Amino acid sequence: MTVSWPTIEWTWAPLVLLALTAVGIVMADLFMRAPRPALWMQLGLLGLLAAGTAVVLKIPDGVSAFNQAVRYDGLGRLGVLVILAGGCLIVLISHRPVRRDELPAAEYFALLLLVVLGLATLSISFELMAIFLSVEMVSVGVYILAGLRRGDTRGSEAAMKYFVLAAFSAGFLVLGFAFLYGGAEGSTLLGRIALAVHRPSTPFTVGCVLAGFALALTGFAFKLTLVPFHLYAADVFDGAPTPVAAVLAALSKAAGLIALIHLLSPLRIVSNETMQSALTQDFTGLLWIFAALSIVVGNAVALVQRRIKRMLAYSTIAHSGYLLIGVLVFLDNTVRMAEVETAILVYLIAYVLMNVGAFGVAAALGPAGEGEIEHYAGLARRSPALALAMTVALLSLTGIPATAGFVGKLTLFARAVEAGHIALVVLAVLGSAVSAYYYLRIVVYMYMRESSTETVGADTDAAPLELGHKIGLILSTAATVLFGVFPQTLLFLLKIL
Amino acid sequence: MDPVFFPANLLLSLAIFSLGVMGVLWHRNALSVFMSIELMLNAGNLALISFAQRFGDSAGAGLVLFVMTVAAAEAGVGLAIFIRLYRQRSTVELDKADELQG
Repeated sequence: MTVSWPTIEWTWAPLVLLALTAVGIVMADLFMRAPRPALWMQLGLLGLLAAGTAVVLKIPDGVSAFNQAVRYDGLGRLGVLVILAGGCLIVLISHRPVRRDELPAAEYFALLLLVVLGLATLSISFELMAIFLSVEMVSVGVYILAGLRRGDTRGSEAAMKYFVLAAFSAGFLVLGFAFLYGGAEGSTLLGRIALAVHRPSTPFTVGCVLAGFALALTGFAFKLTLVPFHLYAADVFDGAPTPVAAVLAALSKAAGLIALIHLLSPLRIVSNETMQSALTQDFTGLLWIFAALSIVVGNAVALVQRRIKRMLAYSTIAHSGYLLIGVLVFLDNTVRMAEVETAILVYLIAYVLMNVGAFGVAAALGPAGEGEIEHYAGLARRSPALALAMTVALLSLTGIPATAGFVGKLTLFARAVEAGHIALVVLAVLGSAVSAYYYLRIVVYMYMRESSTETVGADTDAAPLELGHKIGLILSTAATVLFGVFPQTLLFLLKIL
Repeated sequence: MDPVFFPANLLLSLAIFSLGVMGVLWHRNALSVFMSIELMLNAGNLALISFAQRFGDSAGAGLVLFVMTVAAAEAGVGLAIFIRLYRQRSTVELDKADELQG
């Protein structure tokens, strides 16, 4: 008689690891006499790094689990790694807010890990139930995180606004998924929905699929803050604790975009069959309008913002517009799938790095630095290192050459031109030119203006920065420059991981 | 399964969903808005369960269970947020929450 040892199911090991770390942090906190923020931070980092290592070493490209509900395809698998790495950076840039005792450390890091877990599952889900549960895991986690700061009325308001709009968009998502389920004649797998799109049995099926995709797209438009569903973004970013705003800006958008691409993958044109290409044409038009509106409105409204996090919120709306161009290229079959995926991943990596950099500096400066832009006047004199990190992040957001943001925009827009979306690329380039005004204005403030006396008084940046925060900012800034100057390193990383 | 009732179920679900959307857009009290959102979620549930019955598949019914669980979790967190907001400002009117518009 042979004893069969239980084997580890590697496909979900990283996800379980994250969940266990989160639960472990909360449980262990019960047994501590004094708060141990540094310990929870290290545990969180350890969990994220272990999960990332498991993905890199043990999960090869294209593995699926749970009857195809979860699949580590090229985009999803690397997307998980981007999200885990971004999660590490955000844990690091939470060091100062947590140390200043603004946030209860154990709950904060546990919820942050659960949100990262939800985002990771979102980017590998190929089934409606899994997508819905991941989206909600992120949403419910962020409701709590947004209002976690003690005795803070702005945080409560941000949490309430995010709650109402995220729950509203969940309603659209559920009804959309119901219709997609009906269109696929009783299957929640995206693969079966693709079959229904390619070989629809009745006109009723076509109607269901059409309604399903339209409603689900509306739900995702809220999550990705696409114009006209963007109105809550500025308020939520401004009121939520800065690292939480960074999660929403960088990670949630990266995972949401990957999930949107997976969800819309049944619409990717395989041949010019009449039914499918007609359906895809409709959605291409819709996405085109979303992208154009987000680029125009995001950049225009960012120009007049006086508060740093509101400005960054509108900048992420514009960036969502640029990212949607990637989805449009994906739906078109003129460009090879692998090339589109690389372009989108390069953009997402750059996007995560520069947003973590910008929000990280704001978090380091404390309440004053999270408020009015005037506070940045003379920052280069007061703390040159922070000013440098902010400058790199802002130059990268603008898309100045020799930064990761430039490489991201260049690869994405090149693919878009290949696929024939020239009008949209022209719009995006014009938008980037406009964006230089509001990004570089802060650089001008930092280097060319004197700090006023009241600014210096309000500073909390006088104390030396916590080690974790420092490491987080150095890593994101260094990576932004490295990937900008030597884009080959990024491509090499994408290949070996 | 009588095929006549199937479109009726879907129409009912769409009607409830529209009521929910209108409720969210019209109501100013956070609790009423939240009730309207629950209406939208349940309209989705009704559509899911109708499709599940029509195609004799249990995945739709399973998804309904998850949606209900998630809605309960959302209600728990959402009501906590409302209570905290009420303590800070003695109101849960959405129009009165305007500290952040700048």
